[in-house]
Amino acid sequence: MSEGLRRRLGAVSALVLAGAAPLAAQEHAMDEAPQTVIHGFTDVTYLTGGNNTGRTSAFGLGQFDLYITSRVADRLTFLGETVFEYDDASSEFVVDVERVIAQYALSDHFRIDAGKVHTPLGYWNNAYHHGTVMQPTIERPQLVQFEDDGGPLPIHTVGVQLSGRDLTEAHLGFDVLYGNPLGNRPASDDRNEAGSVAAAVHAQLTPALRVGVSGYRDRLVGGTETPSGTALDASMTQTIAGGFLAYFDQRAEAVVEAHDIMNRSAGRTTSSPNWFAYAGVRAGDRVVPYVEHEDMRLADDDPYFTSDRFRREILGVRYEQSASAVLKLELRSLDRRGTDRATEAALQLALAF
Amino acid sequence: MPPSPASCRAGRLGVFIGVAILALGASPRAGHAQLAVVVNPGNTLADLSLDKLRRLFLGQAKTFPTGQHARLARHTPSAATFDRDALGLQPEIVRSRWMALIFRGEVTVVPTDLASADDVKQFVRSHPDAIAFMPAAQVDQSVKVLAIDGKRPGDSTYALR
Repeated sequence: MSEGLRRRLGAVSALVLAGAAPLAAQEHAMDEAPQTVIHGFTDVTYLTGGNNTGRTSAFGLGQFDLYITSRVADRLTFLGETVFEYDDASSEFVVDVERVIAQYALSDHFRIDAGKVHTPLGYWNNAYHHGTVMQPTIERPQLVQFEDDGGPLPIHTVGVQLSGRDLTEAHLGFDVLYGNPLGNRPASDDRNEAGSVAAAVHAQLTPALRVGVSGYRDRLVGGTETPSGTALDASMTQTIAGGFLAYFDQRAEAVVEAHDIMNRSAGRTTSSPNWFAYAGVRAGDRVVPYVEHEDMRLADDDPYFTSDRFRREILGVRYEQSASAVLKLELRSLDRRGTDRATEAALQLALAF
Repeated sequence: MPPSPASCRAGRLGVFIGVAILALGASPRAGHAQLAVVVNPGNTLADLSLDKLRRLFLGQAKTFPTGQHARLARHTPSAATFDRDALGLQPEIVRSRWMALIFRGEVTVVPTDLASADDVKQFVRSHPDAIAFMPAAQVDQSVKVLAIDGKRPGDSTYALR
C-alpha cells in the first residue's frame, strides 16, 4: 500500500470514527439509541470498442462508495458519503468525500441541510448520484457527469440548503441552496467574496410523474481555476437554467432533462445548451430495454469551458435481479466534435450492500 | 491455431456474463391475499385515497391528509401483493425507490417490516400515528380499517384485491 493511499485511508477511518464517536457517547443519554447505518455501492464494468485509431477492451472498477446515515439526535441526522476510486492522474486509488451533511428536519415537510450536498439541479443529479445500481444506465449522462470526470454542471456545493416537500395539493417541492462559488475549496478560510445560489421547484404530479425547473447563479473572481486547469482572465457570472420531466411507472420510464449554461465575462455572454433523454419499457418483471440520447455543447470562446460538442446514443438492456443487483448491457455510439467517432459495448454489474 | 484477439474478447465477455448471471440466481415470489389498510383506532381518518396511500408507501408523503405524521409498517408476507396491487410496482422497484430515498437523504426511516398479522396489530395499537397493511381476514377490533377511495375490503371495486 502506498504512503498516499495509507494516508487517505487513515483520513477516511478518522471520518467514520468522527461520525460514530459522538453517537457512542450519547447512547446512555438518549432514550432511543441512535443508529448508524452504512450502505455501500460498487460496480465492475467491461468495456470494448474504439474508433478509427484503434480498439481497446478492459475491465474497470467503478466507484466504491460508502454511505453512512446516523440519527444523531431528535430531528438531527448525519449523512456522509465517501468514494474510493482509481485516479488516472495519480495512478492510484484515491478517496473523495462526496457528501457530508448535517440534516435538521423542521417538520415532515421542511428540512435544512448543511455541508457538502448535491446541487439541486435537474433530476438525475439528485435521484441517482454515485449509486450506479440505482441509475437506469451504466454511466451518468455527460451533462450530469461528475466535475472531475468532465461534467459541466456544479454537481456538488458546500453550503446550506432549505428544502420543502409534498406541499399543497400540487405536491410541490423546493430547494434553495446558498453555497460556496465554483473553484472554492471546502474550507472556511478560502475566498468567499461571493456565494452561489441554486433554487429548484418541482412537483410530484402523480406517484409516477415528476416535473421541475431549476436555476443556479454564481460569481467567480478572476483567477479562479477552470475545468481545464487554466485561470479565469476576469471575473465571470455563471447562470444555469434548466428543467426536467421524469416518469416511472410499472411499465414505462422516461427522463428528459435540459440545462443552458450561460457564462458572462468582460461584457460577453456565451450560451451552452445541453440536454439528454432516456426512455425504457419494462418487459416482464426484471428486464428493461432502453435508449438514451445525449447532446452536449460547450460554447466556442467560452471564458470557463473548453469548447466541445458531444453526442451519444445508447441502446441498452437492464436486468434487475433485485434492488441491490443489476446487470446492464449497452451498445453506444459517440460523436465528439463531428470528427472523433466511436462505437463501444459495455457490460456492468452494479451492486448495493 | 491460436485464438484471435476478437475471439479472446468475446470469450472474456461470455465468461463475465455467465458468472454474473450465475451469481444473481433467482428469487422467490410471494402469495396473494386481500389486504386491509389499518390505522390506530384513535385516528380520526376513515377514508384514504389510493393516490395518497401510494404516496405514503413510496415515501413521497409523510403525513395523513389531516396533517398528522404517518408511521409506516408492512406485513412482510403481504408486501409483494401490496406493492403490485396498491402501488402498481414490482416489489424490487419499491425497494429500489426506498433505497434511493435514503441515499438522497429524503427519508431517514423506512417502513417497519413485521412478520405476522399479530405483530402488525400490536404495532398499530402501540403507535397513534401508525398505518399498515395486513390480510383483511385477520383484522379485528384492535385496529381501524380505512376505506380506500371509499371502498372497503370485500367491496367489488376495492383497490387492494
